[in-house]
Amino acid sequence: MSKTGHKVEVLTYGKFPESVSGVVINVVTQSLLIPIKLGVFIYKFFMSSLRQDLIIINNGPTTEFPSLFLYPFIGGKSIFVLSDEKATLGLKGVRKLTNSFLTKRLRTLEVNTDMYRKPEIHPFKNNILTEETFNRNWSQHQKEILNYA
Amino acid sequence: MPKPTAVTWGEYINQNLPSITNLLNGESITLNNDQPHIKGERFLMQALTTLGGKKIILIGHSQKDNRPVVIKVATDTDGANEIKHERLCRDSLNKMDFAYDQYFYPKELLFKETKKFTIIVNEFIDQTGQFIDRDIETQFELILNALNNQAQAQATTAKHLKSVIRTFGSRNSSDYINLHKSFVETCHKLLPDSKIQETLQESHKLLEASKVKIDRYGYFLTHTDFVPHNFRIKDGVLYYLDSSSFRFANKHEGWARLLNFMTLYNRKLERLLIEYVENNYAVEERESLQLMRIHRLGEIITYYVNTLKNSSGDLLTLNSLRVDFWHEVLKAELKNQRVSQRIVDEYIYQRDQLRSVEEKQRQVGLH
Repeated sequence: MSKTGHKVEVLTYGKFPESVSGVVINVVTQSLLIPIKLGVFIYKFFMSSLRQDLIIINNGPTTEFPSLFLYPFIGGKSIFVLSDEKATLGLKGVRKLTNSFLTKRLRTLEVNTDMYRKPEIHPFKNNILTEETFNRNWSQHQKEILNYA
Repeated sequence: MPKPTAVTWGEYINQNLPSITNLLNGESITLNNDQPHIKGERFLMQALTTLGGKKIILIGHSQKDNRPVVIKVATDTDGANEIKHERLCRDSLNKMDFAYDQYFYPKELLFKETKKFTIIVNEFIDQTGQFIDRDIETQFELILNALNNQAQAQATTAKHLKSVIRTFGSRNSSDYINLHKSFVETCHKLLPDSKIQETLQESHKLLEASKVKIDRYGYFLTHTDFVPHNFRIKDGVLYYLDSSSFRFANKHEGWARLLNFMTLYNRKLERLLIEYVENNYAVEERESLQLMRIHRLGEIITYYVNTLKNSSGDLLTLNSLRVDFWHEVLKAELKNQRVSQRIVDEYIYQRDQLRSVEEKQRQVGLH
């Protein structure tokens, strides 16, 4: 998206993220205790939401809980992207409730991440996904997101 | 502590082997007549950065079903602790709730502690061929899968770290820098007039200036001694023989150890793996890999510098040659280049001239 002129900001958990050209990456230290980590994430998420026109939330417990908390402020300009299959497997209790609340209330987009993986350059295998297909898939995905928005 | 020499090692083996043989007979295990892992340069081997106790590796077979087995015996506290640590790591490998993949290792057949010995007997994984004799495509696939498999486990949260660090241990940028500093100091003490010190000081400075680059890929599960003699392959499955070398550390430490090894044994695989990282991963990953290679080269140089005082004759000449060879590899790696094939070929030629008959026997089928 940054390649097509959008100002992109990423909020994620980690410590020293890899750089992505044209993208501002905001991190919340992953090793913090859960309540502190979530508190810091909620604060950074809220501040970032004030600067952005569109928020793309990737599923997973540590993004879903802050999104639920900030729903009254961000609900109108958010898209909930279900891209992490592992994070949805075996959901129960509060996590399941949070996930189903967001799925019902936010514009939700289910994506198959295999389509958006960078083509692997392998010395002994032909790429199943070419660079051209990869770029086309991302371009379509971007249109889909912007249409949703 | 007495200096380890071939003579003292031989005496040590002669003193202990009859008791070990009797003990194992009582457990229906017979030792093979030929024991390659106690020969040659084995007496010099002392781990530099791990527990490094005294251990005897033996091969034998079960009297019940004639199944081949591998026996590790420790006679001192450090060796016993290393065996116990290895068991603990092995048992914990597939219990990490944040790891997505499974890790394989030989089945334990016996663990026994007596007043004098700590013994572990594992099944021998029979592989159809040596790793380095397989075709390059198979080697590449096996290594890439194994390294990716290790990287599936990353301790990212405080809870993860708490649950695994006590078992496996961890290493961050400060640990690497401090270790590297100890390499500089050792070489300064043992080889005061050598150019190696300057190179190690340069690598130390580089590591100090690259803390973030190292910690960016921190707390991944990595096998810090990931070389062919520490794994075996059966039916396409890779079995780790030395679980005590697993650690939560920089993701590329295992890569680095393997690539440094392949500088000598398979340069094509070394090149393909580096190209794979350059083509598929972020620039930062490649930088981290280079830093880890540099760190591990410092370690291997220090290892051989340490052996000089316990070597004599051809072995002293050979170990001096090894110090110089790895120094050349380090100098090239500091420039992010590979050492020339001419230097590798010359070293291999001279090494093969200087290796003892026993060491040559020990090396057969090792990789």
